[in-house]
Amino acid sequence: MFQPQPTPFASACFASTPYAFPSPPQPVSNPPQPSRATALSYGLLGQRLDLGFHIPPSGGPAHSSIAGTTAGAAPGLGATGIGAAPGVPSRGLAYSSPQPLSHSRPPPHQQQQQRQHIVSQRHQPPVLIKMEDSDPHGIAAQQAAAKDYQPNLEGPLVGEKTTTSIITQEYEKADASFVEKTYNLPQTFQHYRPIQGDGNCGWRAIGFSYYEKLIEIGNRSQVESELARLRGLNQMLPSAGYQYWEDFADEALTLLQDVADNIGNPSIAHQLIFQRWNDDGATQSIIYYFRMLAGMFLKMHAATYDPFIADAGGIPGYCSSTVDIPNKEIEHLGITALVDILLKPINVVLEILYLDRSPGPHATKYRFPEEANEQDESQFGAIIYLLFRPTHYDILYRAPPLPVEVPQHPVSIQVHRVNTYDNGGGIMSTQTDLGAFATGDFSMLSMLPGFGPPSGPVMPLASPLASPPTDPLGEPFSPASQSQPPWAQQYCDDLTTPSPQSTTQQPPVVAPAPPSLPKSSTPLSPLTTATAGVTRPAIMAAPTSLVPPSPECTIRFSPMQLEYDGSKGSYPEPTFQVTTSTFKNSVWNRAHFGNPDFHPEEWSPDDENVDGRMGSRKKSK
Amino acid sequence: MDYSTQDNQNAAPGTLDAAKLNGARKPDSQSVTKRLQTELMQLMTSPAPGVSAFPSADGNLLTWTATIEGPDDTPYTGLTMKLSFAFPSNYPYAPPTVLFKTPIYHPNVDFSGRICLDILKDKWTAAYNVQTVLLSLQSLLGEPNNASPLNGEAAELWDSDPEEFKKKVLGRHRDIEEE
Repeated sequence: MFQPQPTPFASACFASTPYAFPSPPQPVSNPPQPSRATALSYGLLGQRLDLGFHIPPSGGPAHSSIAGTTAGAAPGLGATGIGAAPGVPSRGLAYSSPQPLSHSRPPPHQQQQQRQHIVSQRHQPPVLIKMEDSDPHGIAAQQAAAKDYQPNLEGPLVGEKTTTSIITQEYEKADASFVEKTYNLPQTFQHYRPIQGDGNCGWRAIGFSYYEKLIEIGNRSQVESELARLRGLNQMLPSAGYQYWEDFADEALTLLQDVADNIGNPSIAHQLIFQRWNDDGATQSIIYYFRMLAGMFLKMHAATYDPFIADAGGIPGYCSSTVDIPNKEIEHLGITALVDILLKPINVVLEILYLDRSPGPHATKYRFPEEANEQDESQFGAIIYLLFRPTHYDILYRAPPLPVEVPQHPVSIQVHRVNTYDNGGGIMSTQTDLGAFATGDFSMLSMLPGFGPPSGPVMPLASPLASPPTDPLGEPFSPASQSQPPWAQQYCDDLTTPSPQSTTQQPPVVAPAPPSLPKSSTPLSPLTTATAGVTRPAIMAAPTSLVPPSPECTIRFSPMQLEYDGSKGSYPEPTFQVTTSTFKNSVWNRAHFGNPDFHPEEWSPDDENVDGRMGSRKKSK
Repeated sequence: MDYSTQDNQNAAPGTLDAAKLNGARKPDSQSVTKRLQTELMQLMTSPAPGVSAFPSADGNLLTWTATIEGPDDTPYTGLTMKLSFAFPSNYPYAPPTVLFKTPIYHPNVDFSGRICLDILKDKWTAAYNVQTVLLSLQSLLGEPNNASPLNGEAAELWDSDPEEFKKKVLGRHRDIEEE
């Protein structure tokens, strides 16, 4: 029945390799005239190619041989399906408009043959015939296939919050406008919730968000007044043509009641709606309940919305053909109705970001209801953000604005430890007064990766939501701003001058307050190298004449950690292979005098016999 | 996609959709049963004239038997047609499969009793129910959709020769035994 048909896109690859199909040697004969006209008309259609680029100038003996073989190619192709003579007239009729052109300006004979050759080779005329002859059939078959097509639905109905960078990655190789828009997306919306695209995604996204916002607002009496309001609306459903509403409404109102009961415990309430919206029976009922509410709203305001319906059926026809059909996508009118009947009474605004190919660096925003587009955000109780990708809706989440910029460099974890280590020193000085032994342990723990206090600025890998804004340490680390002994400040300032990134890594090694040093260095000893231990007393002895520690001054907090090289922190690739002949003379090679870690090459007897001349230079260490 | 299923054009309307929807949605028989009980209750408390429906004798609530009386002023006056309803497990989100058990001569019904009616296919909404389906079928008896007939001869005769049409209706009709 239905067979996959070559699409017009196929011509693109033909165009890129015009002579990819060698013409088989065939008896030379002049093709029938109509066929030539048809072949020309294909080309003149302009839909597929620009003949001008590919046709050599006419005439000339040099072309006659080509013309000879190519002229033979046409009947050969005809035998395979062009339908040289019989099929031609109908095709010629179908493309009637270009024909007069070809008659009015008949090109020279050879050029015609040449054209025919090119055209027949590049166009694969069987494609055209098939598309034309089987058009009604093909379209019908495709329509039938599309009607019954059920996409492979994956994932839960309502997914877990996920980072939006996944969307960015998804569109990495897409159209440039998508790339830009998705690249900017995570800056505003850190998370999104994938919604299953079974045709209910818009309804599901809005419905789920409705419950979610009620929980976030956290006002029990508001939820209960919603319950009362919806119960009142239910009484009008039969008059809108919905006889069987109880089962649907029950499910929605039960969940609302559960939300009201758990309003004091948002995490349970969130879990509850997440479970219920992933339960198949429940979610179908709730969605259909919202469909009925929207349908009823449209019917109640039929006079307002009738002009938007082109069909003769008007609003009732629209409802029974779109809103009421299970698994039918929400449309603008449905969104309008749903927002008006569901979200407006609780002062929640729906903002949809349309990810399309429109120009601009950000996805196009539109708010429902319409008047909210001109209003300030502060006037709304809450905003539901949806991301619309053609035919699909997902829920977007805006994270609270972060107090700090998350550093991108992985070594920033160590910056954090520096900070707490300093604080630890300060706390320890008060330790004698208060006897708060726990603080000493705490600062020690913070030295370990992943054991730091929950302070935002230093955990680039943690989710932004995990960093509470009330964090006592919630400020970006800046050595100069900390209350430090004057000598330490001076030290920090000294280091700030050459390179800010590497300075921030210095203090863990050198900054501990002298009284705390003996105590704190004891638990550190397995983790710190011997050279670090050597460096510290030196600093204490002469704090004002500080020398940057040698590159070997290494603290390894974990065996899994990349080697931490104090003076080389800004180079992400300590193991970068630079001794190859390509990079040997670059500054990346430590043996280069321009390298910050300059270290001359050393002769090693082991290398002597490896590779004669260059042998001794293979290893720099 | 398996296109071989598309050859199944003469399959009873609804079965294909229902089967596919069942694949996509896990059955939720409890809510189906609840819904059907509600519908049965309403059919019994406020019956519509000329139509009736009841679950089959085998105790399975998912298959019903229904009757439609031919409306007055139509070729079907005085005739009683029996139909079978088979409800999918995701009813009411998918339409029931409805077949004429009584042999009937009608432009939109084929000789196996399969019905061509949009609300039993892609225009189905969860707001419909057994009663609305029966009333729609009853009105279909008097107002066939001759634009898309399953029985082409009947569609032609309906317009050209009502006498002959009526004769064919009566000739094909026979009361079937109670199962």
